[in-house]
Amino acid sequence: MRASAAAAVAAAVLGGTLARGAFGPRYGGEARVVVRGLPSTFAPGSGRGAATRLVGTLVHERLVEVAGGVAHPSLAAALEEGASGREWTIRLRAGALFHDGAPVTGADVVRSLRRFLRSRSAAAARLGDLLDGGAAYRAAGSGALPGVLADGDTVVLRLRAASALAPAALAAPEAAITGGRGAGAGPFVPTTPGPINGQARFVAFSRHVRGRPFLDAVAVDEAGAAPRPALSPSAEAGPLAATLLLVLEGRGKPAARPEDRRRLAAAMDGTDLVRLFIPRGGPSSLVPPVLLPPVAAPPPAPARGIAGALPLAVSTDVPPAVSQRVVALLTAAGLQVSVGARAPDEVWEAPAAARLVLFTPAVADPLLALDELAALAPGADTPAARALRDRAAVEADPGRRAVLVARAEAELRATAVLVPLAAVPVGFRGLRGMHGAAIDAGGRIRLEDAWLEP
Amino acid sequence: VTDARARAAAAALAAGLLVPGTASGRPLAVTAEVPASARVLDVAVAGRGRVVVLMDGALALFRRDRRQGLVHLDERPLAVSSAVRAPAGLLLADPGGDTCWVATNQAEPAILYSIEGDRLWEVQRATALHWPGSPRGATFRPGTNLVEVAIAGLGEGPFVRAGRGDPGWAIGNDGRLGIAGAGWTALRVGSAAAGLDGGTLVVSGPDPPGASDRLVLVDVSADGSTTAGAAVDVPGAVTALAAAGEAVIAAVVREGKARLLVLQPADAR
Repeated sequence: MRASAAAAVAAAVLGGTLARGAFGPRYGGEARVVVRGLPSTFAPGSGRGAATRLVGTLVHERLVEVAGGVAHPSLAAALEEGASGREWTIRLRAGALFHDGAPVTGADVVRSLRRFLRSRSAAAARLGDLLDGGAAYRAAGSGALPGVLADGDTVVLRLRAASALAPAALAAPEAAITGGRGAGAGPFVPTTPGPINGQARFVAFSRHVRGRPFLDAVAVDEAGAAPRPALSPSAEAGPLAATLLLVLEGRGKPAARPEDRRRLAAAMDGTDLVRLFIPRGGPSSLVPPVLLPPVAAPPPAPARGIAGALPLAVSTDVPPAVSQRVVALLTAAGLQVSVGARAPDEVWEAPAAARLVLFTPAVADPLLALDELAALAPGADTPAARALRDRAAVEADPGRRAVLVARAEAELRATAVLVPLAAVPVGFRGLRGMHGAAIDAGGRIRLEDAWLEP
Repeated sequence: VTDARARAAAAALAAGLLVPGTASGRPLAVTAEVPASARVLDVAVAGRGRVVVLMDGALALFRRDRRQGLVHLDERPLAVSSAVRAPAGLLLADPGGDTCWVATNQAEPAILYSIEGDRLWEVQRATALHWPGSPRGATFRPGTNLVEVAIAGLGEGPFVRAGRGDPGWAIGNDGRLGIAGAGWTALRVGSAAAGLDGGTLVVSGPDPPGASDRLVLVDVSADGSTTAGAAVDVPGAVTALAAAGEAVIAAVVREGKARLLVLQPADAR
């Protein structure tokens, strides 16, 4: 991943005119998307930023998509539960093809899932825990993976215990299904293996599994810091798919002591932040409101006397006004804050005592989102929180599962390592004349149904 | 085609300044409305008051009825062998005949149906729709809703829609209306049109799909020049049009549901 990755869509747009007519959707045309950083490759799940997610939705296809808390077939034709929830049978869509023309087979799925299970994805870790032989395979102790079997166009997942969560894990970006030569199966075909001189071009895949996209091509250009980021409170309205988090890692003073972290957390006035700087924002839990109900913030309690230096890594997709306000609040608590800007892909790894990030879960599932946060900020996790998530993963009753997930979120939040400040709408800006572009529940810009007026 | 006239017509169309009515001055109004089981891709009028309706995944046969407007008679499923984002189809029927050619962008062959009484029967298949003057007939550009067919003066497409008749016409992918033998006008229209008697076309509105649409009558003179005339608002986004004498059958999508509207001159009700 080069530079930062917050995307700004300059030539694409929100549709929805109140027109009288019926011309469209129309095939043809090219959309130009301006981003602040492109991933170095177009391989599945190669980063966390908005540009990476955009490229992922253009090039790749996963077996399922998660929306509204439910896994929907995507490259799969159907998901069937069997063996009292311990077995999931996935039938592939007939006629599904990769960009190189090769058919999508069960063998491709198995190979792709084996790659996925050895990735750093939190969803892969969860699926590995659930799959028969998955944990040993993930630990690289074994090449065998008895929990994933293919028979022609059918793939069977065998679990150690019944779980309704397993299909959702397949929606992770890293779980994209690729062909033997690495080809994707998404709606657009990259014309080069990676960006060249900050530019990439993707042409319509005429045999995409849901049909050829309307646009002939999408050009993605890296444009430095010129455009405003797409993942911005100033963008067009979109779903509340991101959470602004202050992460107090606990390395060194003053974030080391839980009581100090709680005082700092209490001093963060999220309500004021939203009112002044995040239009259409709102309160949030650790994960965006599209996944879990927001947590009402208590009135802020000014913290004073927490002296010390606080190196703060700020993700470049956080709007400057927001980060400045947070820095002001930390400074008011008595801290000497030194700020370093980091790309979304790098901010979680940066050596800093604190981080300010926009968190958009890789999978739009609340439990997998909490798994992801626990992996990103291990200091926040506790045995109790882990146990609650593990119980939720195998809980069959949706109501009881929701309760366990809510308790797991509260348990994670209680350490005050992860401090939710606000829910942020994920939107994008563009010109009039394009219709059908959308932001999905995972905060990804989807252009496969986008079309341009003449 | 006189561009200035067409531009003036387009401006009037955009401004919504036109007075509802037919070419002969009698106002059109919706006189009947019936549901369709899926989004309507095309409509054609056959002989003996039969109306063929091509829908997403099915072909239906209706009978025109003075009281109910349209009465459903038969429905046949159509094969879907390829995924498309915008289903489209073409119906070619002889207004006085008992057959109808059907082609969609979701399956390869064109199919000829015979209308026997109240039933539709498949009788023949072909790789393309027969289209007089087009050596390769009419086909859909793979994966799209665009029609490739040779039309005199307009080229071989791709077109959003094309119609035979007098005059023949096509709608370009830029939304312009073209008249066979005359060329492209500057008139922007929607993706549906049909030929009425007397060299008049009825076209849908040029804006993106919305909650309502507007039908406009376009007079085509002998030299191919066009004049946008009367207009009438319709509830829903028009997906297909057919002419039955002075009446117009409009397929619309309203609140996600497909409907068939019958519009007639006031004194013909």
